[in-house]
Amino acid sequence: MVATQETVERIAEATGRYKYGFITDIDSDKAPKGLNEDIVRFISAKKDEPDWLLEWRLKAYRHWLTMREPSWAKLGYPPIDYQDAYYYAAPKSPEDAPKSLDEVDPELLRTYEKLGIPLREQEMLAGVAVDAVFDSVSVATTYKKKLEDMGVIFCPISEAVQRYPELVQRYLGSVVPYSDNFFATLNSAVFTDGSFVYVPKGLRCPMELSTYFRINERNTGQFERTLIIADEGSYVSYLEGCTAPQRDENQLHAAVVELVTMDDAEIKYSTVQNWYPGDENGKGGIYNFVTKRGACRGRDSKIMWTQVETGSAITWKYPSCILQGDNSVGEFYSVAITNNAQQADTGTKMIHIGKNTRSRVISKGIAAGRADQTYRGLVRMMPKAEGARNYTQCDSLLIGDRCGAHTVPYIETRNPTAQVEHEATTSRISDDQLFYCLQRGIPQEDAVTLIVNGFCKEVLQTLPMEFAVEAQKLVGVSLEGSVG
Amino acid sequence: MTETLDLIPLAPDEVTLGVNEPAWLADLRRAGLSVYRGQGLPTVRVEAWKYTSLAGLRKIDHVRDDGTLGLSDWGGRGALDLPDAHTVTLVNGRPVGVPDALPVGVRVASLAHLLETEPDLLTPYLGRGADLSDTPMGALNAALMADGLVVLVAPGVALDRPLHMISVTEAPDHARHIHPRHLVVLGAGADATLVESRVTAPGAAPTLTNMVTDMVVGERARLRHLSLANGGAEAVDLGLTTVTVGAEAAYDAFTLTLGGRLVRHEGCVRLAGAGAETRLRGAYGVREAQHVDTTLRVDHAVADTTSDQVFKGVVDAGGRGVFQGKTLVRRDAQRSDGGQLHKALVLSRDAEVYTKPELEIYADDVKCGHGATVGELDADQLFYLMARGITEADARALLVEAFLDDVVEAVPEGALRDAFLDAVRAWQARRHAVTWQA
Repeated sequence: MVATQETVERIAEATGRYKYGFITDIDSDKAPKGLNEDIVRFISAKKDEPDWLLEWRLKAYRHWLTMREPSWAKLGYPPIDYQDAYYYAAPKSPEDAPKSLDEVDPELLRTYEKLGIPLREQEMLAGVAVDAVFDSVSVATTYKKKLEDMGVIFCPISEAVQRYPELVQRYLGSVVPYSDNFFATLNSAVFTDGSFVYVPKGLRCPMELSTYFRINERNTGQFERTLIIADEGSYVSYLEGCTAPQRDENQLHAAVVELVTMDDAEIKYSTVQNWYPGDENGKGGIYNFVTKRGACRGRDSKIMWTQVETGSAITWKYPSCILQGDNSVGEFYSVAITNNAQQADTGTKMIHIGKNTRSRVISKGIAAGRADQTYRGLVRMMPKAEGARNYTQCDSLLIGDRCGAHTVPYIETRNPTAQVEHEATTSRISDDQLFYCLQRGIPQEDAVTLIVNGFCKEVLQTLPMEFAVEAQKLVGVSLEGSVG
Repeated sequence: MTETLDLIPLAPDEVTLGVNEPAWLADLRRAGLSVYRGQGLPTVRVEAWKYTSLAGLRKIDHVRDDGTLGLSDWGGRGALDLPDAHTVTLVNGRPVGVPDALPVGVRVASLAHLLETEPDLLTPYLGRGADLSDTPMGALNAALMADGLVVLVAPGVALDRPLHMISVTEAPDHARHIHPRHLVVLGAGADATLVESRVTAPGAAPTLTNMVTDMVVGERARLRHLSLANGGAEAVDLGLTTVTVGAEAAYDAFTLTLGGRLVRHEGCVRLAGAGAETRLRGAYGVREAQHVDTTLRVDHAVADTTSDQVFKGVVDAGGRGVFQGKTLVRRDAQRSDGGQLHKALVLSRDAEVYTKPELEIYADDVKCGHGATVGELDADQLFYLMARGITEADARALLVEAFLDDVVEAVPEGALRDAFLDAVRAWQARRHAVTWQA
């Protein structure tokens, strides 16, 4: 039977996939609202991507259509309308940016001051027009050149797709497959940009790679994709985000980060996340759904995640390690602070596959105001994880009687020689400690900051030095208004 | 034709078993049926059943027990040996006679009998313990319950000796499903010790026991609840115990699970009055295709309440142990103290342990924590004993017993503790036999 033209049209209407035809004007700055195959093609065409990547994106998109948004996390938010969002917007031109700091929201500047951020960086963070931060650009370029000479590839992933397609093709989606989870699959379909790092064999990357130096592609948007590969015997430390509050007009963020370490290689990945948390009622804050996963493919390799999560209205994030190589090590250090109406459901997964693999999880959660916070973690010892070990400690601190702190660990052991230890506590700031500080003339708010910093010390210490100093101040800023 | 578990019962009318059941009971059954129909047999996709699969039940044609079996000559095998206790034996959830010589103020009766003669006595308690909507198996029990044991202790009365409840499951001809319903109510200031032995008659076809026990511990009352699950190799033993603990009252439980193919013990304790406390202790030993699941939920509903959970498991070849413990501290339940510990000892390959200790806290002035460890026997300790001429098998048995010691210590000293220790040793002896044969 031959389908009539009418039927074809009706189906096309119902599915909506090909509504706009195959050709969309790639010169326009903004793709139309909503998500369909054409938008995916549009993004791919904008980036002049090879066919395999477009196919991969489309596979992800088609799979995403069959998936349902997860509801198991302890988070409450109104349903997200995925068709009511823009999935591609060209970076803003310098003309739209504020001309100087005088044009920036004074509230934002006050926060920068409290954090002790240098003036030049303040301008950069506030998005002041390019020539004002010209120095930084040239500094970044100088560093980039130096790195390139040593063989380190550090560039936007869109650039890597053009210049090192075989590397990207080999590793993209190899840790977080396109079908992994609702948000990661969405990201695979529509990711706009992100970082790509490749550290060659035997090289210890001489400097911390930071998103600070990528100012020219700062506006990577809401669907960031990062891929870091540390080849045999190499080491790299990567810093993501910054302590300063970042405002973004896009409410929904769904990033994916993939790390791969070969034999004897090590990646240290530090994050400070301080996206806009919304007003006191959580209105307008960022929804942050992140999939971060590292694969320790080689023997004696190591991946270390450190995160300081203070921003976003909703945080859904579980940086994980797949410990495949024998003797490989996974570490996860986390401080999460939620205040006012913020909600965070965060933790880690440690999957032990290889022999003598070790993992360590230290999580410190602080809930204040009416915030809710959940540690959700998985430790899985596979049958072949001979002699594997895990130690997990998660502590929660409650400030005020309207907030909530929850712990949901999953521990699965299928090997008798594997050892797993898990500890968790929940408490509040002790009256004794507070009294001690007050008695010595330390104002209540400072005292709380001091005590909370002590509570988080183990984690903050693992941050690179400059980051650690700022993160300590950030603890205080995040808890503002939570006491007294 | 036999009915499969997914399809029972066929129509709402068939649920009502009693002839003149009161309206509230019919409502309870209907509510249970509608929940079970909506959710069906739980699958591993349901979070609370993530680690325990009931898929195997679908392969067996069970018939509903008709309540006509008499007590077979099962010889008391597997039950605790407590000659001094008040003893009542139940066959497929139905009491066979009731103990005499009970103190004044203590009443032990069959649920079916009370429902027929004095249903009003049960109205305030039956089915009030758990929210059926998140326990499909509990809902199924509400729909199908036919009989069970009711223990009522009047205010201020102390039960002089432990009450020993021996539940025997029998299925001489065909696989059966049984839905016993027990109720224990202690009035204000009462005191009682309840001991349970759950066993299977020899030669029984596969049985599915879906038991629900509702317990109410009145103000300042004290209930000790000790149980041994020692079912047969084909027994599936699902139990849900709901406990409401009043002000200044205490509920202390000890669960020892050694037998049964698939055992799930679900405990929901609600600390409903200031000063209420609960200590939940337990131990389990699993091997050879056995699966034991302990799922606890302690609800600190009001301020100034205390809970403490300590569970230990020994998992041998082919066994699977699951521990899910949740401590919930509600908003304004200040000064709650909640502790939780699960330790598992893995004795050999192909043994699996799944642990999920959970805290859900909504009040700040609390002291809550949990700990969990999983590992094998300490090689140094084993070496120490063997260096002193103790055989490896004996040394292992000794270390296993020592490992379980601090939970078994929760059982009151004397005949009770001895009976439980004997059960542990009998379980160990079976391992010896297995090891030796291999």
